[in-house]
Amino acid sequence: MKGEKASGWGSVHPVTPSGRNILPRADAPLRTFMVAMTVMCYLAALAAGGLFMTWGAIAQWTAGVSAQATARIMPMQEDEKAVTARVQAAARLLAAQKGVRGVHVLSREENKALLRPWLGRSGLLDNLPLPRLVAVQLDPVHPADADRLDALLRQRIKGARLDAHGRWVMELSQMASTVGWLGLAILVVIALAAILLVAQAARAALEANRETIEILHLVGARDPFIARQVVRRFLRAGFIAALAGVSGAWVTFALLALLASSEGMGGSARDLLFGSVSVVFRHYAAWLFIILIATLISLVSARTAAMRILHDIFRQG
Amino acid sequence: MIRFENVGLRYGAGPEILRDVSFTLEKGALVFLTGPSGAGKTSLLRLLHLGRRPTRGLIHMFGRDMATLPRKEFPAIRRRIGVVFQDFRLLDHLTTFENVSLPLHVDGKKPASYRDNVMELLNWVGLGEQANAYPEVLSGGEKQRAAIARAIVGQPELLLADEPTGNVDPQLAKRLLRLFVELNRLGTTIIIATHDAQLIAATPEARVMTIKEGRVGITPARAVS
Repeated sequence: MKGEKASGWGSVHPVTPSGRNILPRADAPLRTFMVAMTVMCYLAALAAGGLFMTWGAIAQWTAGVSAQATARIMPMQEDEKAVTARVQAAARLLAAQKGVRGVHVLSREENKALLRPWLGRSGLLDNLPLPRLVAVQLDPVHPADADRLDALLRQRIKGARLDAHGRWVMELSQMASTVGWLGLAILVVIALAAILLVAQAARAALEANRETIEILHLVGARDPFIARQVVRRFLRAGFIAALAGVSGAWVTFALLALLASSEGMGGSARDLLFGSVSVVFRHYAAWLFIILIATLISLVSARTAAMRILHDIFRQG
Repeated sequence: MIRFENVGLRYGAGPEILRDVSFTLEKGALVFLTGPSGAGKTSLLRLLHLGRRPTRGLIHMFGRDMATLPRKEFPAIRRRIGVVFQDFRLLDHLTTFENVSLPLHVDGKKPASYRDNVMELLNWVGLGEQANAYPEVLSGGEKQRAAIARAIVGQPELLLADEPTGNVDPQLAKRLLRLFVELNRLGTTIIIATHDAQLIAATPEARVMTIKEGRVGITPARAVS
């Protein structure tokens, strides 16, 4: 029959009421909503992923430096033999302490290698009175008390002290906290923007179907019934957009991981920048949470907006 | 069933379209609403189907004061009223069957519970073959009958029709009129806004409500056949 289209809730044959929406599709507002929601979910997932990467890297660095300490023995007006004797005494003293797993006395060459990136290969390094260093590996499970070791070292070995990187660890920890709050703030802003977006799109969808809604009112439809038709559209669109956005972020992180594993990048830079990309993929709950929240925002915000708009705009009299 | 007391209606800051309208209609009345174009027939129908609230005065319907009726109670009242619009107001994205069954659908009834009844109604108004067609392919007369079927499918206590024969040929107009009279005999109160003098003349049992310059006068039924 001319004019027949896909059967709806009440097609005469076949007798299968479907979940067809009573409102005509308002494609333009819904499409705009989906694109914007996808981008926001993508940004939210990137922000969350970046947060996990940063936290992962900080955890790695902190774990590394927490298990290490460095003893410095300052050179004095003495010959090389005397300095070496003080260094060896410090190393023996430290190695004998409980909670110290091992010590390694850095040779003069190793010392110079550490400073070479800053001072170059000139003869300057040979003329400078460089402090001698002893790398101390602490027991990661039951580490020695760094303050006690430092006091002991100062007391027993002249010109020696221990740096346990405490300040460095504290700064890292503060940075982790700041990054965490920043990430949370970004996610909150994105969520607020999403709520506004859904409300605007719901308004546009209702406006686009104004005449249909008037007719629905006239045949006795209640506002919750009409709102339900709008919400169904936004719920589905919100879920698909969230899935697309989070998937996009996953692809981005997968590309980063690929870049990290490529030969072209130097090992240190790679470790520094991308060492924790893999951490991102372990946070399944976070990804599901973003999809869930985006879908919930679509549901609640669309329903709230639709009910309010139906009350305000379509108020009679 | 319907009581208007000194009802006035104006749109925004414009002049009063209806002034001091007072009348009473008992249940089962058949009334033609007539008057020149722009006299306020459609506005009066709007007041009756809760499309507007009066600017002043009292409207009593179904034992309720419409001026103070909370908006959330509108749907329940509207389900007791069927409306046939002059421009049909069918939803283009729904089939004839879906359009006609719309009042039942929005009332939460399951399609299986009303499918046979709606099909019977469609056959009665001569649209059984068009059940799956969309309004865009229906003729003016078919749309009119679909609009009438939608208005009566919920077995309303009050049926309002705005120029229901304005888009159909005289023969179909007579058929539609017979349909309204039949419904009226079954107990439905019917108010038909029309310019069609022949239609009014063909229905001696009906009362005629005339609107002129915003005021309403009612003439009694001339005879009851």
